[in-house]
Amino acid sequence: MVRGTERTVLTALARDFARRFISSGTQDADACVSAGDVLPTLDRDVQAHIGERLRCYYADLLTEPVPPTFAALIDRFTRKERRS
Amino acid sequence: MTIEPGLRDEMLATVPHLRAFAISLSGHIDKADDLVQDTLLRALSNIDQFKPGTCLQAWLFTILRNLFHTEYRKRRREVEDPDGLMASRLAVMPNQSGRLEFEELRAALGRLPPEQREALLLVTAEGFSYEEAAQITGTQLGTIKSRINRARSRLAEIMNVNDPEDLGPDRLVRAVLHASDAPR
Repeated sequence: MVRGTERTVLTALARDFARRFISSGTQDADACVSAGDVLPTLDRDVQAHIGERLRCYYADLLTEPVPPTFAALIDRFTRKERRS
Repeated sequence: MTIEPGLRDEMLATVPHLRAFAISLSGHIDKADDLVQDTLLRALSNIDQFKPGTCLQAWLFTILRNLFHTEYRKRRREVEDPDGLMASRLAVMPNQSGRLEFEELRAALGRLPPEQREALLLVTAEGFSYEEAAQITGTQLGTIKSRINRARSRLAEIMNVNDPEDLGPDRLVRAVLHASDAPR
């Protein structure tokens, strides 16, 4: 059985270990420790690469022309509300 | 509360973001548009619940995310797409995003559990903070961080980029350097 103080010390040690030896960054290390998780050893360059590709993909979606139906919907609702 | 012109414009400016998020979540543009329309209707009908001065975008994302999970999770097998079948059959996608360079990533995203997918998209792609993402998804900060971590690892695994050596451009550069070093 791990008591409160021991748990705190163990958590601090785990977090310190994660920060020193795992390249996935401090925030992720904290997350893994707080989640009581096994720390994945994803390389920082790989993380950056995935993040970059994801942002490119998403930026591409953002440039898609938006159907005019959404603007019409908002305007219709706004006009209806003003009348009432 | 009435819908002021400023609020209307802000809502309209958020639509492309809602749509990109919905496409990435649902994996299908028609479902995504239905989801965005339902989100706007829900938001406009409940505009009194929006607190002025708070982030409208986060509020709309919360509505969209909740709608996705309540109404669209009925098609769970289709959405989670463990074998990537749905992702590979996507026929009605936006023109630009149908580009080959995003095929692999889109298929890989389709194979992530929805909770991991949304966490990764909200923070990495949409730029919300961990705190905002936790609020939108109604989870704890640690849970969001953990989901993002798992999502990244899973994506790397699916896309077979677990090592910097696997990264395309670097491999190409190394090949060029190696070729230039070679004796003539």
